[in-house]
Amino acid sequence: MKRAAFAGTLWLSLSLGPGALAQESAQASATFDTANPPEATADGDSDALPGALVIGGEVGAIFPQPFSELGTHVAFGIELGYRLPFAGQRIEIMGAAAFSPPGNSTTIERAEGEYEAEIDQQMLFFSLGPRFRVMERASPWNVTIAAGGRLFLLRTYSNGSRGGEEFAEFTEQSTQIGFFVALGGEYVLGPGAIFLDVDLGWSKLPHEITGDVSTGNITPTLGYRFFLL
Amino acid sequence: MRRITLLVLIAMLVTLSCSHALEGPGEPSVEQKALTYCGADTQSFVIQGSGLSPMVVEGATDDPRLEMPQVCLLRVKDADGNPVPPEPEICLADEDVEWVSQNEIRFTATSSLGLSPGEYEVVVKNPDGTKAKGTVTLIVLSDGPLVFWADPSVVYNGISTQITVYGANLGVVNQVLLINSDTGEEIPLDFTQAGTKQNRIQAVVPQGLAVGTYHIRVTSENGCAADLLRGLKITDTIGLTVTTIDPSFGWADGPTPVTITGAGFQQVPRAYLNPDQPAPDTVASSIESVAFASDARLTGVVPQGLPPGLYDLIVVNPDGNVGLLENAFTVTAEPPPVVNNISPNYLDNDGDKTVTIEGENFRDPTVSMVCRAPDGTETTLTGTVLPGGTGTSFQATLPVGGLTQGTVCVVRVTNSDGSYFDYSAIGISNPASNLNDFSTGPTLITARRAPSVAAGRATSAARYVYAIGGDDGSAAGALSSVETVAIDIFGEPSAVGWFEQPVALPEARTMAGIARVGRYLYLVGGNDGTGATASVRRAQVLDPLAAPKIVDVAARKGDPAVTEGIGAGVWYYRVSAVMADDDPSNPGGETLPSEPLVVNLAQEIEGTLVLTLIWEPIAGAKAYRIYRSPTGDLPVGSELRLAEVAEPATSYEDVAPPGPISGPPPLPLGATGVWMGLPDLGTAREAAGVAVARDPVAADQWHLYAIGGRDGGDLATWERLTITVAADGSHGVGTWAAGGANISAARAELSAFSVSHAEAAQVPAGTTYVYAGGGTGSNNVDVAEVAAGGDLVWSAVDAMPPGRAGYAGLAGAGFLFVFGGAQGGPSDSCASGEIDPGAPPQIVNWNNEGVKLNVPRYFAGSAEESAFIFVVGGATSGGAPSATMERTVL
Repeated sequence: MKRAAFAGTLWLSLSLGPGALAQESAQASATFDTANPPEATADGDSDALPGALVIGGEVGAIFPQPFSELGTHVAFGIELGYRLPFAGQRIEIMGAAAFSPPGNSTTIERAEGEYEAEIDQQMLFFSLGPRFRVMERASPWNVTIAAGGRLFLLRTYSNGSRGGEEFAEFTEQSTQIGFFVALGGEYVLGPGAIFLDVDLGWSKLPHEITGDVSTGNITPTLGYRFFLL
Repeated sequence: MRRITLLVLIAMLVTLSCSHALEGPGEPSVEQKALTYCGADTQSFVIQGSGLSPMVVEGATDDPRLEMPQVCLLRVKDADGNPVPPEPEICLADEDVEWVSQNEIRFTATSSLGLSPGEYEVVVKNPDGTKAKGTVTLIVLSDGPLVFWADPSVVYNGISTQITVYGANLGVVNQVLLINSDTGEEIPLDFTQAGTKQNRIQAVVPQGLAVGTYHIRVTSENGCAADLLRGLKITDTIGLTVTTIDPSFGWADGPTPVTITGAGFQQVPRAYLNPDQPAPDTVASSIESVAFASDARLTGVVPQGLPPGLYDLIVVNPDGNVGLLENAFTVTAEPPPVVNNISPNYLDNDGDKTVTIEGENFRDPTVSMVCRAPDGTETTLTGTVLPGGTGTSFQATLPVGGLTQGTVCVVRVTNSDGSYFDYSAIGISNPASNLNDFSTGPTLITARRAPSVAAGRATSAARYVYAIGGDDGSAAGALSSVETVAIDIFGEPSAVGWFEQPVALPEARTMAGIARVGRYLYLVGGNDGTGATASVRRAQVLDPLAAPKIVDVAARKGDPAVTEGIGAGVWYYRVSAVMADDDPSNPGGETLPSEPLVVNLAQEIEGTLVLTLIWEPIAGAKAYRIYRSPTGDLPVGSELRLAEVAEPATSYEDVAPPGPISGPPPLPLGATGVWMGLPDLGTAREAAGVAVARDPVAADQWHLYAIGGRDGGDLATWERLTITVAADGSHGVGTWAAGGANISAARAELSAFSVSHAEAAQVPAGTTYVYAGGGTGSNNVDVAEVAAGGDLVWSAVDAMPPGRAGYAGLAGAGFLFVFGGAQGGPSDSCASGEIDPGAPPQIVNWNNEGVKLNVPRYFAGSAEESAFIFVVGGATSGGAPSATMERTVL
């Protein structure tokens, strides 16, 4: 139940947040023609250029295997950023939230017999940090580099069975501070840009259920960012 | 403001990063339950409840595992049920817990936990640390249940047999199973528990079970079970020879000692009585205390309480061979007859003789005799019971005409229900009532001049002759040792011969007088090696019925870390009591040992067992002595003293391993207690005449007389000690009282004779005469009738032939007899003086007997047992002490 509530809350934030923001930004921004990019002004700004407010959503897969025995799972998230009005708006302060529940299933043998064991590691993490775009703002293609701190909200579930008898479920939760680095590419399309990011995140994961491991993972995601305002 | 905001953010981050929580499914529970840890190396338990679950741990590592619900034990009470101070919890290893479902877990307790006996709270916690509600207790026994012996270990499947399973720490038993070791078939047995600690199980093995070997499993109410692997063998092989059981009857209301004869007995068979016409549910009764005397002879005791009727005897050897003697034993509803006296107990062989048989419990009796001639020929004769008898007396005519002089007849009185009594014995003489020829008996261990010789009985059938003290030929060489020889019903000394009494006189004594009252021997005066003494001592012929009784046996496994306990084999245990120093009969002395407890431990017993014997206390005991076979499989009678425990202990834990035991053996049947001191004579007397007579009025009083003797010079005085016999048979004495008028002449080396109706039919019942025979310095014979209170007034009767002194003398068959001792030295002559049949106590005259002693004797001792006369020791030709004994028949 707790697990359902946790996931539901995240889904609500993902489904409501980007949609509402996208609807609002569609009313406020100009159409961006990738075939005839507008000419930039001396300070690097232009009415036809993408807006400074960045709102995006992404979906991908988490790969914790380099760091633990957790398995691959879908990951999805949202982001909110603002391109700072200097350096040709190449620097963006961004915040993001993402969720992924990787798990692990195994058979444990004991003297009295075999047990089926299963853990699920839900990770909801919030990231904050700068993102730098290598190309100028007017370029339809860009390469992004990001890094920063990440707050991991972790919840681990223990389940299993033996001979058809199910274990009772145990949960263990904690909050951990970690970091992330990300490398991505984006292509302006419509009011924003589609992007592909590869994200490396890490924090400690000192749970009894998981063992003293880390949340370390590599997460490639594909998403879309709106440039508004 | 910005700074405050930053601090708040940092605090939130730190708080968030430090938060950590582990939650389970809620509060689990366990069902209330009381478990018992039986003390085995491992034992599993089941706990029911809800919400019990393991948890995955290390699940994201390459070594995931499960954390089981934690089971910890908290001791709350000790073995006696007293609360204990808080102790640390003892938690079981994770691998000793097994999860079955959220409603059930199992755990295994092991001896490695080192649990102390007592009561524990079983604390169950889920991996999240949540303690299960509910109470489960675990009782840890100090020792686990154990069964170590089934008695018998072999049963015959032709009868239903009651077996006794011996165990320890069994608690309340709720099931006893036989498990066929080949087929696994389980047979539940009907059973009851017995013993002071409920450690004996009496179970009934039904007849008709398949031949084979069976395990015995005993399960207690607390769930603890103990197995005796291959503890019982069932056989159907009949091939053992069983010839007789003697006696062949027993009274339902009393135990009956029996002797079983046959061939091929092994150590130790079991014997049973099974009704001749058994019902389907009839259970054969075990003969108790079966002891292996030889491969042809067993002894045992038929317990009281068997239903009257006819029984078959079944003997089962340890190898499974079975002997059957049909219609062998009769249990009677009424008590068996008892013959106290047959008068006269000497009969002339000139025709049929009528005797009066007195005793108890006569019911339509018949009389028969087994008569053994001097050449050993035995003849069975049948008497005729005359009309007019009662339950306590009747007359019978015995066909003794023509029997050889010297024949001994054992008279059997048989009641209508088949019970009988063998009376030993009457002697057959010629019409002149001459003595029969003497036969030589076994040799004494120590040659003795002037021993004190007496006969005594441990039971009505166990009869003995005692040779007490004496000297090596001179008074200075006085002896303190005592020897004994057993006498059979035909008066024959045991072929085993004399044995030395474990209890000797406290000091040397020779030329002492002796008298017996009941089972007490009174030793009066004599010479202690330095001169005449006034010392008087008394010893009791020990009663086997007064011995302790082993009532139970418990056991535990021996600790292999220390060498203790006994292993496989047949072991015998006995217990005797040491009486208090103020005991009126045997102060500081030892009793006879108990009947042997036989323990047969099978090879399947792993390691050793430490047995604990439990016995009934003996009133007045200050300690108990425990005897045991030094090693297994020795015959009964090999026991040696293992230990002594002080009263009030009534149990003993035998931790001693097999091996040499330095202690002495227990006292044998026929042994005496200590020779306790009594009030001294008024005058020291050696070589005095000593006799005892019953008071003519006070039936509980006897008078002990010391007449004449020598204290430097010959004495004519006499003294009297009154003995009062209590209801329990114990004796109380006053002090010696100087007699009235002296005997007619001072003399020593005389015999005193006590003559009542039992010794001379011509003496009226209730009257007793005391005769003082001739001795040194005078051949006078004085006689006095015992008056109420014991006073004697002497008068002279026919004098003995001159020169008789240092002779052995006794009365019987209406005569006074003297043996040896003439002219101040050894003599083989014998003489007798007949008490006047028409005018007792006059002596008709003194005549030399036609028979002579085989050995000339001076200062010999003599005793009379029933119709038999024994002459023992004395100085023989040359003055050397003799180690010989002779026997004749009245």
